[in-house]
Amino acid sequence: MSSPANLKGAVEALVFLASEPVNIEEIAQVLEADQREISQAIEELKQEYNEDNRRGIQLDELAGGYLFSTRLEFGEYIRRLHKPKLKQRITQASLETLAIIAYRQPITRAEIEDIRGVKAEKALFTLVKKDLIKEVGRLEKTGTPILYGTTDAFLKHFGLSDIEHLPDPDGLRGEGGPDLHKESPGEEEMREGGS
Amino acid sequence: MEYNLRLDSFEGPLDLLVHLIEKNQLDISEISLRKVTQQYLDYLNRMEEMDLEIASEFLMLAAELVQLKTKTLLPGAKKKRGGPLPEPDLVKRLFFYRRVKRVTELLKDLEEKRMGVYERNSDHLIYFLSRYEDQEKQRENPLEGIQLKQVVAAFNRAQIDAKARKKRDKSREKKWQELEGESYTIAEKMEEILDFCQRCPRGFPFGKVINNLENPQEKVVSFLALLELIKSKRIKIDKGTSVNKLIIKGGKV
Repeated sequence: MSSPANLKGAVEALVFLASEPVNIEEIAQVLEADQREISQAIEELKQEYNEDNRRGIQLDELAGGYLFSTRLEFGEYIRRLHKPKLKQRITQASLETLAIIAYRQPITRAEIEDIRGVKAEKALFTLVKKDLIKEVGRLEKTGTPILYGTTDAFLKHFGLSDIEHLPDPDGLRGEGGPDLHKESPGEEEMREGGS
Repeated sequence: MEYNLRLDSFEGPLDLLVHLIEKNQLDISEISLRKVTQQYLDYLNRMEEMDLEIASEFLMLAAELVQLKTKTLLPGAKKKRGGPLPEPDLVKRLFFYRRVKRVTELLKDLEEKRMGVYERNSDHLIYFLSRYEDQEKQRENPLEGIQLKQVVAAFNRAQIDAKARKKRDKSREKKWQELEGESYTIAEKMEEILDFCQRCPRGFPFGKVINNLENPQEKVVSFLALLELIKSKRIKIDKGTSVNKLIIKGGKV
C-alpha cells in the first residue's frame, strides 16, 4: 500500500474512528506520508470543523493527539438519545491532590501531604487506579520515594492538548513552592509574604 | 461570630483555616491566624460534641495555632530579635494552599466543560474490528480438503443422531409424564382389535395394534388382549410377506 491520493480524507477517516487521541506520527506511519503533510491536513480539518459553527462535531487536540468529539452545546441531546455512560467526576479530595500533582509534578507523596495538611494515600491510590496519575520516577533521597506525574488520560479528561496548556494565572507551575522545610526561609518567604 | 459549618466540606485543617480567614474577611497573616484561633478551636469542640472523630491533622494544627498565640503573649519575644519576626511557616503554607485551591477550581471548570463533550466510545471500534476479523475469516476456505461425499455422510449421520436423540428424549419424557392409573382394560382392547378386524377384512399388520401407542401400559394391555383373542380363536395370525410382518385377520369361529 502506498499513501492515499486523498490524504486529508484518509486522515479524517483515521481520526473519525478513533476512541483515543491519535497522533501525527501514527497517522503518518500508517498513510506512509510525511508528518508535515499530515499536520497540514489536520490543520485544514481543524479549520473546517472548528471554525464552522454549523457543525455538530469538533476536532480536538488532546494529549498530543487528535480526536473528534461532539460539541458542548449538543451534549443535552446526546444524553437524551444515547444515554452515554456517565462520565465520572473526580471527587473533591482527589481533585485537590490531582491539582497539586498537575501543577507541581514530579512530586512525592510527602510533599503533597505537606501542602494539603492531610494524608494523600487514598487519593493517590484512586488517581493511579483511574490512570490519571502515574509513577514517573524516584526521588534520589533516603527511601527513594515515588515521584508522581499526570498521564495522557489526565489531559484527555480535562480536554488539554498538553500539560503546558494548564491554565495557570497564578504561576503555580515551575515555581519554588512553599519550601516548608527550608532551613533559611529568606527570599522565598518575602515573596510569599508580599503576595 | 456566628458560623455554621458542614464538616465534610473541608478537605483538611488548612481548608478550614482558609475558610475561617476568608469568612472573617481577613488576609492571610499571623495576626489573622491569632484572630481565628478561637473559632478553629470552637469548630473542633463542635466536632467533639457531634461525636465525630477528630483527625490528628486538625489537632496538630490546633496546637500550632495555640503555640503561635502564646508566643506573642510572652514578653521579650520581639525584643530579642530586634525587628519583626519572620512570618510563621503556617502563613506560607496557607498562602500556598489557597493557591492550590484556586487551581483546583480551575481544573474543576475544565472538567465540567469536558463533561458535556462526547467522544467516540471504544465499543464502536471493537464492533468494527470484530466485523473486519469476521470478513478476514470468510476469505479463508472453511471446507478446504473436504470432499462432498464426506459432507453428505456427515449430514446423514447427523440426521440419524438427531432421530435417535429425539427418540431418547421422547422416552425420557414419558418416564416423567405418565402417572395415570389403570385406564386400560383387556376387554376394552379386545373390542378395539375386533373393530379393526371388521374394518380391515384383509387383515392388518401386527405392529399396528401396538406401534402407535405411547403409553407402555396400554401397549402391554393391548398385547395381552391380542393374545387373549388368539387363544379364544376370535382372530388369526397369518405370516405376511416377510418374516417379521404378521398379519392379523378376523377369524371365524
